[in-house]
Formats: sequence, C-alpha cells, structure tokens
Amino acid sequence: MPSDPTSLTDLTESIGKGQAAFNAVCALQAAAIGKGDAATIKSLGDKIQVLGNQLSQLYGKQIAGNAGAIAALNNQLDAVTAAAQSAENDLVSLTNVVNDVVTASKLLDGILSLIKTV
Amino acid sequence: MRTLFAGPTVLARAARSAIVIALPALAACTPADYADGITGFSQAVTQANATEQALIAADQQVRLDQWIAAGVAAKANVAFVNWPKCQSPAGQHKAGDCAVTLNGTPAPVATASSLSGLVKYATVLSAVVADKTCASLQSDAQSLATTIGDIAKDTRDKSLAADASPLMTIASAAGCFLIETKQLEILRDATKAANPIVQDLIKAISITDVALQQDAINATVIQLLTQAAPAYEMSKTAASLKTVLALSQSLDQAQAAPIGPVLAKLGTLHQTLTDDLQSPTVSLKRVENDAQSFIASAQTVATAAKALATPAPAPAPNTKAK
Repeated sequence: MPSDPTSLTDLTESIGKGQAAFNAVCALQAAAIGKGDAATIKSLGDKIQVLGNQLSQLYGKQIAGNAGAIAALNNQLDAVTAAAQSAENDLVSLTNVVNDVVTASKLLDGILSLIKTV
Repeated sequence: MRTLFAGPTVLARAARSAIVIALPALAACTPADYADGITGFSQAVTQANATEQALIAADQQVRLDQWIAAGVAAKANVAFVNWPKCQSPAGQHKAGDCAVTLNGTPAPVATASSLSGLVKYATVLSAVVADKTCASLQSDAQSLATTIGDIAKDTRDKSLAADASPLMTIASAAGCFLIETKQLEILRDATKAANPIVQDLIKAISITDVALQQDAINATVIQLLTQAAPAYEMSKTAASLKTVLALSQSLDQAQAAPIGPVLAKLGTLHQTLTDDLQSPTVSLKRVENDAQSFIASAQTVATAAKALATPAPAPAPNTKAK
C-alpha cells in the first residue's frame, strides 16, 4: 500500500489492500496456531501487530478526512432544519392567534351577558 | 347603552364574523396519519446515533488496549505532555489538557459523532408534529363553538341560534384542515429539501462507522491471534481457553452485524418518508414498519460493538485445561 496516501480515494484503496493483506496474514496465523507452530506464530504475530497498527492509522486518517465532508453536509442539513423550525414557529403563532380569538369571543360573551342583565 | 354597546344582535353578528374568519384554523383532524411515521423516523435516527456511540466507544477502548499493550511490551517511558496543565487552577483547565504519552505516542481519543446534524433534523420534524397536534386546537374549537352557541342564545335571536349548529359543523370539518395542511406542507418541504443531503450524509456516516467497526474488529483479531491463542498454546489452561472463546464469540457477533447495510436502510427509510409524504393520501405505515426493522438491526450492531469493547477475561495462572 502507498506509504502516505493524500486523497480519500487513495486512502480507501490503501485501506482495501491493507485490510486484504492483514486478513491473509491472520489466516496464516490461525493455521499456524492450529498446528501449534510456535516459531511461525511468533513471527506472524509480530507482522500482524505492525500491519494492524498501520491499518488502524489509515482508518483514523479516513475518519478524520471524512469528518470534513460530514461537517459540510451537516451545515447544509442545518439550513433545512432551521427553515423547518422557522415554519414551525409560524404554526405556533397561528395557534396563538386561535387562542386569542377564543379569548376574544369569551370576552364578547361576557359583554353580551352584561347587556342581558342591564 | 346602545351608544356604548352596539347591541346584542350586532355584537353577536360581529363576533360570529370574527370567529368565521378564524375558524378555518380550528377543529378536528388526525395528524396521527403521519405522526407515528415521523416518530418512527426520529426513533430510528436516535438508535443510529446510539449505535454510532457504541462503535466509537468500542473502537476507542480496543485502541486504548492496544496502546497500553504496545507500551508495556516496549517498556515505554511515560511522559506528561505539559505537566503545568495538570496543575492549572480551576476554571482555566480544559478537558484533555493533562495528558500522557508512551514513547511519544498519545493515548487514542474518541472519534467525534457524525450524526449530530441528522439528530437535530429529526428532532425538528418530530416537533412539527408532536407539539402541534390538533388536540388542543380541537378543544379550543369546541369551546369556541360553545361560545358561539352561547352568544346566539344570549341574543335570544332565533335565527342566530339556528345558524350556530351548522357553523360548528363547518368549523369541525374545515378548521383543522388548515393546521394539518400547514404541518404537511412543512414536512413535505423539509424532507424533500433534505433528502439529497441526507442521502449523501448517510453515505459519509457509513464510511466513518464502517471504519470504526472494522478497526475495532481488527484490534480484537490482533488480541486473539497474537496474545490469547498463543497464550493458550503455551499454557493449556482453562482460563486462557475462556479468553480465546470470549474473543472469538465477540468477533462472531460483530462480523454477523455489519454496520454498512444497516445504515443503508436508514437512507432508504428517509427516501420512503419523503416519497410517502408527497403522496396525496398520506400514510406512513411503511415508514413505521421499516423504522422498527432498522431499530432492531441497529440495536444488534450496538450490542455486538459493546461485546467487542468488553475486556476478555484475564487468564488465571496455573489453571490447567481439562
């Protein structure tokens, strides 16, 4: 795999190759464990550690690089969310208007009652 | 009195006019047609977030275990990144200021959540429906209708009293329709505008979450193949065999629950939500059912991630396997 992939595409490619190599070495190690081959287990174990650490670093880079895309998309989604929130607030106002009308009609009712008793 | 008050009949008519203008905003409606679907989507996003948190915690835990194991194996020197910051007065200290390194390598930190925008969006969609159900408006509509009836009775005007009943009927039929329309309009517009962004976002989230899961799986594989299994080969103890078994089982669980296809379901769920809201006859039953299916799958991924993060039992010395 390339030592220092610069783009997310390079990274994805490197991770794919690295993961395949890691899986292959792990399969050899599993076979060595099954045979009780101590020397091979030790030798492959060291390689698995090194390869695993490199792969972990690449996954870390991929996550960090991808965070930029996620942040940009989240900003766009925030704009839609804010618009929906604003529309929702209008609906609150509408409810308030309705409540005001209810109050007003009750007031009128009270006035009418007063007229009736005068 | 007539100079102060326009008179009962005129007032009643004025009140009725005002109410007739306002009434289209009132009355019985069933936002439940779409409320459960929106709630289902929101619950699905909440679960997706919880699952990601489990993956983040698992990945951080296994990377921390690796960092410690590598440091101990190399007999690494521990160093404080900036010792004075470990002693800075209260109020000036920030989380992470007091940190250590092993041979210059800092301890792994938790990955930031990638679902915060989606969680906020789903919360607002729920708020549009949940906070604005017509129940309170219906109650208001009823009291308003009663008031109209009372006004009509108070005027002792039989023609107005006769008008009251049909007016209430109209209020019930037409009033909440507008609120429902407004809610639907917001939901339709918001989901339609958000859908392409949500689809791209879920693909990006998937890249991060797949990486987190694979990294955690790899770390467990390393632990199993380079430490646990060789340790059993050397010792042949029951305790070391239990460690091998525990790690194998957690790997089995994680491999059987890949996060990628589960997150793809979340994208499909939002697409369905968008499409079904656009339908002239809104029914979100499909969204409700798919959301429950997604939640079950995402919970399985979260459970498997937690198993990966659980430390395998430490082998006890001198316990021979039978």
